[in-house]
Amino acid sequence: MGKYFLKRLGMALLTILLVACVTFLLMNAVPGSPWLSEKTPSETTLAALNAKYGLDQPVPVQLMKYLQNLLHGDFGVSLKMQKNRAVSSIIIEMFPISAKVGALALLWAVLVGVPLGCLAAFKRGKLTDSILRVVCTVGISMPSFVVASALLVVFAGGMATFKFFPTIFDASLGWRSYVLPCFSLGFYPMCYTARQTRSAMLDSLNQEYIKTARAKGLKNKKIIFKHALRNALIPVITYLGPQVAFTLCGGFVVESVFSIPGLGRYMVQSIQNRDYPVIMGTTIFIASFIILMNLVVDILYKVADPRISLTKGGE
Amino acid sequence: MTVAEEKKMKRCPVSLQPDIESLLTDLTEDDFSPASKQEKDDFIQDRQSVSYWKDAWRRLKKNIVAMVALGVIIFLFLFAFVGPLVVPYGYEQFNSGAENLFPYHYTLEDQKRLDEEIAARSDSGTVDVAELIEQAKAEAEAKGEKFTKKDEAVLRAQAKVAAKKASDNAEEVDPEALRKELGIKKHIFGYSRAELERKAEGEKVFPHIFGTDMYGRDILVRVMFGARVSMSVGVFAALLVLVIGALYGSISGYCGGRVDAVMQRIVELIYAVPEMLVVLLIATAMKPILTEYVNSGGGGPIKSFVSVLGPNLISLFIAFGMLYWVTMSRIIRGQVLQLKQQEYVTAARALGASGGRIIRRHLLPNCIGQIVVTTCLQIPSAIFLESFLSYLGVGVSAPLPSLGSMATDALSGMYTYTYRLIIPAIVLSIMILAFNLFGDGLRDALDPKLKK
Repeated sequence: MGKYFLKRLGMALLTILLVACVTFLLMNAVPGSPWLSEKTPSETTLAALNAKYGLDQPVPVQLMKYLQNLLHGDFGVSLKMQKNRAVSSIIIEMFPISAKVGALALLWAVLVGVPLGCLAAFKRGKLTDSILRVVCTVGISMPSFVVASALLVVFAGGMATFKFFPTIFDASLGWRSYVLPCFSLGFYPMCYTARQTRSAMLDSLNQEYIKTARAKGLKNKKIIFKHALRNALIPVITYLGPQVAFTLCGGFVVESVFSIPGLGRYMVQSIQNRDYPVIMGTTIFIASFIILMNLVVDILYKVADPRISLTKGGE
Repeated sequence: MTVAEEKKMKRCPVSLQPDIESLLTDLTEDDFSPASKQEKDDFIQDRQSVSYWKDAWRRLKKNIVAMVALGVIIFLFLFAFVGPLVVPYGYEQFNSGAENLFPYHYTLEDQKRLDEEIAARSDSGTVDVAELIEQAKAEAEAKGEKFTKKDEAVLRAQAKVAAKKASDNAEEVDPEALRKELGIKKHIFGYSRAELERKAEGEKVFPHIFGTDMYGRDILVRVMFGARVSMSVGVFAALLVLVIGALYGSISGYCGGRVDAVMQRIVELIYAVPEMLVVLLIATAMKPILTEYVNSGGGGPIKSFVSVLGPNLISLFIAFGMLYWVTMSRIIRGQVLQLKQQEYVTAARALGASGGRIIRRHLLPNCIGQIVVTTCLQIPSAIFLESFLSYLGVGVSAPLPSLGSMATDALSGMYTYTYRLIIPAIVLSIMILAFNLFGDGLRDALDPKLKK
């Protein structure tokens, strides 16, 4: 167990390093210097600026320096969007907002998705099952901007009769402004979770131990909750691990649609503004978060299901 | 008692041997004539060998949902690739005078009636200022008072206020309400006024079936081209994933040992990378790099290829080539690991076949079902990603429309021109849904073991 943990941790750190390097090199390969958009500075100013930000050194040196700074929690400073503000402080400011919306979205996705999946599995082949399957397949076929804008049109002003929710996120308005973003952010995970739960539940209902449980004369309730559901939840957890990280860091699209001042929207804006330190900082932050979440899920896995052999790589 | 009769008597009662004697009495002379062609065919039909694909097709045909999805996919292909030939507008053609058309129109007579009605309503109440002043002057003179400049100015100001109020009133006349009052009905398809006039003169005018956008571009054509872009991206990305994944997976699985271990570590590494983020990153970084490359002068086939596709599409493909093949390679590796234990692989090896030949001739064809299913399910995910990137503005480059970027463009006038958002969104969702459903059906058909 300890050895496995160490191995996975090493792998995760290696991945983060890889992402950091790729990010840095990609951003470095982009032609044009960050000073281009301003009034063309004189040669000497340019040289001084380059020297100040270390841009006059060879790329490997710059990379090493950047990685070193990363280790100290220094993501560099924003060049354009919020001039000279440290990227880490931007992340610290934005992340809680994204995390709150994301957590609420995932909460409803799981709380609704898992029971729906179970329901579909029990009513297999019946009308309920068919309806749920159609809804979920439609759900995973709709990009989040479709869901978000459809909700906006219907519930926030498109039709005059329904104007329940504000179109633009405003934390001071309380729960109302959370409803639409959370719903649209959680819709895809909800449908996906329901689908996964359904198929995992069917799998697990076909297992021998369920037959044994039935033969023992256990009550249906006990069979379902104690035996079937527990095992069915494992693949669901696999999916949810990375999804948690992703959703917490904000749906890029949903945050843009509802103007939520979160990390996802900020990253999209930084991409549109070509503010490279911000792009790099947010990417590395979100990527590390996702990778570490994956690690946590893998470890939890082992705790949840001792059957899974951890030493064997792959499938 | 003869010998024969004696034999008959001895027959065991539970014997399963057919009683030939009695059978013979039932047979006629005709029964021994050669079988007709029809009979032969019927006989063969019963035990005709069914190939893998025929069997899969038979199973797929039974799956109504998958067949409907296939129909939708074929329809969308026709829509995207044949449609633009039918519609006489270009995706970048600005139809002046036809801006902001709704996907419906009012007939010319109705429009005239409406204009007259509005004019009539706003006319009432406005009086000519000069006339008013003349009147006041005359009145003042009659009373023996002097009509000063100041009085005139006051009158003018009053008239102006009144006129403004009247025009405000005219603006307040809601055309929608007025149309309802007059009983004017909407007719499907959008026509601009000029087009309606041309049509009235007997010219054939193609309608803007889905209306037009703020520059007067026909939305139907743009949706067609957007669908074309989406589907091409989906198919090519899936093929790319297929080639890289199949190659990588089969080599890793076939070689085994240390090669496999190293290759699998790489796969694990890539697996842990958050794809969406890196795709976003690659798309962002590649755009200026490739744009500069294209603009750097000189020719060459690669350069023209890049400039035709546009930098964003290329970066999308690069992202797919770098990251998305991982799942495919894992699936194929798993299959190859199983298959390479089979006797026919040993036999081929004993005959001196090279590794490449075994992979090509024996291993890959035997996991074709898995490959086809995974490829097919890759298409919707690529379309999904493309629309996502285009929505965020780092997808398909500007002149070429994409369903995602059309949706972004529509956001500004979302409440007034809802159809501009809804139409691309619906087409996109239907497309992804159809590919998803068809892929599911294909999986059930090709891999009955997986069927749930």
